[in-house]
Amino acid sequence: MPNTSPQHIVRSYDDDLKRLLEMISRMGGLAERQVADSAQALMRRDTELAADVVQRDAALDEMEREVEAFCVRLLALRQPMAQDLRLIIACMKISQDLERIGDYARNGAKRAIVVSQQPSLGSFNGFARMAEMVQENLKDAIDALVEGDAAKADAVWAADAPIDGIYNGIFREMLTFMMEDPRNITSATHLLFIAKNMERIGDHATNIAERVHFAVLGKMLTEERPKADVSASAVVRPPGE
Amino acid sequence: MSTTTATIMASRNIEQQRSLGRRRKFVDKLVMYFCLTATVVGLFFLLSIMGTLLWRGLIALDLIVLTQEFQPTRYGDDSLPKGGLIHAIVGSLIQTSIATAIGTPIGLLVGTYLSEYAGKSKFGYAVRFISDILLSAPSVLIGLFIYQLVVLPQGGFSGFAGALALAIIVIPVVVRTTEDMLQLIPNTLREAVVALGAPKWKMITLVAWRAAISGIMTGILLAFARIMGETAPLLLTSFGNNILSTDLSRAMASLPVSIYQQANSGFPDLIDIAWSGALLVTLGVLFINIIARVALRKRA
Amino acid sequence: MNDHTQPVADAGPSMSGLQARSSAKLNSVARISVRNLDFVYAEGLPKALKGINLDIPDRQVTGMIGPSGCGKSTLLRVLNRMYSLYPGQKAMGEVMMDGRNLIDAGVDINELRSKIGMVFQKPTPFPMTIYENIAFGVRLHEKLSKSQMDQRVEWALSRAAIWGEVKDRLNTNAMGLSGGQQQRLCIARTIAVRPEVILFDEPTSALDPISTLKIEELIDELKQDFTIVIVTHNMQQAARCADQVAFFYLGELIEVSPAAEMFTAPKEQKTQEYITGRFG
Repeated sequence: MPNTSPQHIVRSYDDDLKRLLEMISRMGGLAERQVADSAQALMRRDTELAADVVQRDAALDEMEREVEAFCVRLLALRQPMAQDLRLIIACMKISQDLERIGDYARNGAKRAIVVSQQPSLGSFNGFARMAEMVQENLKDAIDALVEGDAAKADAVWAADAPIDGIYNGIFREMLTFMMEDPRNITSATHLLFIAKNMERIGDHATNIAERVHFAVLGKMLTEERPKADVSASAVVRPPGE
Repeated sequence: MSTTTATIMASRNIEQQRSLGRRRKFVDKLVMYFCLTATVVGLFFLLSIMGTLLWRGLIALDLIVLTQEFQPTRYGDDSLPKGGLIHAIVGSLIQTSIATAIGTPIGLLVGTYLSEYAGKSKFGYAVRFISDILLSAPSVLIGLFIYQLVVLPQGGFSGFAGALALAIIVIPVVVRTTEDMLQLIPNTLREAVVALGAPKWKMITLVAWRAAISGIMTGILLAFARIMGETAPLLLTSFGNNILSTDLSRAMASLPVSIYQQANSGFPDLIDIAWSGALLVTLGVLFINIIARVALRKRA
Repeated sequence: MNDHTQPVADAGPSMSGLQARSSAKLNSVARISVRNLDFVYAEGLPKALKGINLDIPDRQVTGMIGPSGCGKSTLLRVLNRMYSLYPGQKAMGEVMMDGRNLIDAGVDINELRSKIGMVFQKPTPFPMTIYENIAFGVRLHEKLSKSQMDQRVEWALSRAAIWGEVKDRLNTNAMGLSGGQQQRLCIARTIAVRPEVILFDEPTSALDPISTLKIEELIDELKQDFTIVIVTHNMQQAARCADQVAFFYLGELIEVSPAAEMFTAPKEQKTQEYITGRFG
């Protein structure tokens, strides 16, 4: 919500919108933490932390239901128009994105538990880097919403390409591990999924950025987003072929 | 700001308010009893008039009064024929009918002009003012006016002159009610007619009058009732007559004038007939008022 | 009946009105073009309309919104010269329709009003029968035989979606109808004259919500054949009914946009503040 607008004539309407933004930023904070902890659990082979992440996901689901119920109420009672309408719709969709992010984090944590019981495969540098970037994007996207800052949202939207790049690297790396030694397949497959989850989380962060852009400016971000995930067409030849 | 709602609400003094409340209730009762007393006093006089009228009026009221012409006093000699008021009843009906027939269209058109065309113009204001003065002018003055204008040049009293005098009384009443009733019509109704492409005169004649018709009719009936009881202007114009006459160019009897003349005669039997006449006029006015009220209620 | 050459808006039968509105482009043919229009209620008073420029597209609904006293109703009353009833009120500028400036003194007002009908805020049935209410306006402009008139009355009442409710009581007084029925009767009365443009001045502000929806449905139906201008205080109503919405403020036209844009992403800050309830 741009801060330049004067207040509503009905002051409780302002309070409602403020509360909605608070709900989203709380939800965003929890989602960030889930992503961070999920990555931590993987890197430190911390199964307890991973179990925490899995368990905390229910809270995120609950928050999504709350946001949705609150938005439906606002739509019914306030009949919002223009910027308010866009904000409420955006928040509703962002809460879905955040809930999906939570699901990916939980899935990652579950897989981290399995991976921790397997011999380690190389370094987790790529994962650490990816998690960091995804978290940052997520944080910036939520901040952009709360501050009504379309430029910030646009920056998030444009910053997804490097994440895809890292993901492509991990993809090739894992395929190579699997080809080297079939005993790596379990770990590598899980790690592949974890990386894919991270990449999906990054996509949701850009979704959020798109929604913020629309909520603030009233125009859809229509151009094709810069994407660098080429794994869909990647082929790796096994050695000796 | 120190005068918050909370501090103001907290400063309510219950005791003070209760004593104020008691005082208010007392004054309230006092005013009510004053009003009631005034009503009783007024009602007493009204009822005593009505009672006397009924009591005295019914003594002589019979078929003869309603069907026979005037006869001189019998003065104790019952063998002489008893007189009646038919000449006055017919005369009154003729004169008031003609007066209404003349005064209504004029009053209707003037009232319409004031409501629909004059607006806030100076001329409209002047017409409205004069009409209001005429409404409350002493009726004897109107009689005198017709006496000068019609009776003297014509060289004698006439029923026509009487009708003319009464018509002048009718006009301002109809003007006022017509204007008032037309003013009650919502402007959007006028605009709705005009919005269909109707010229203004069609709007007035086809819709505005129709919407105001029962109110205007009520005004006409009230004017009719009013002139039924007028005496003073008739004394100077149609003068009165003792025989049944429908000739408008000659003097014509009317109920109020007959009442006046017979009541002044000093003979008890004629005075009784005058009381009957008064009862008849009152009943007629009452009847018309009731019709007017019913018409008005139907509209609401 | 109307010599329009423009095809009806490209709404296929399978599309709901809302979809049709959001996807269809605004009709580019203007039925009425307002140019540099000024209006004063009396000599010496400030202008109630200041330099208005507005195209009213053919056979679409133009909604006019804005706070009380913003000039939207004033503009409506300029379009059918209603202001001519009141001496002193004066419009300056151009209101072009069929190559004529409607506010020229030489225009035959009664003929103009037969082309541009108006429905008012409060239902205004005439104190006569339902049949006579409809026939009244027709008789002002045409001479019809009894059977032709019967036909016209039925047609108008049917178009106004009230025929079924009144067909058995055509000869009863129109005052006996409910508020919503009276308003549809007034719409039928306006249609009966076969205007090209219908002006609605807050047509539902005196009606209950169900009657309101019926009128809105009717407006949606009528725009196939008539160019419609509606003034409303109810923004949701403007959003539902209008193809194009004009926002007025203090006698000025602030913004004209397709309805879908106006209520999701208005261009002007003032519009935004008004429609989101942040005014003043």
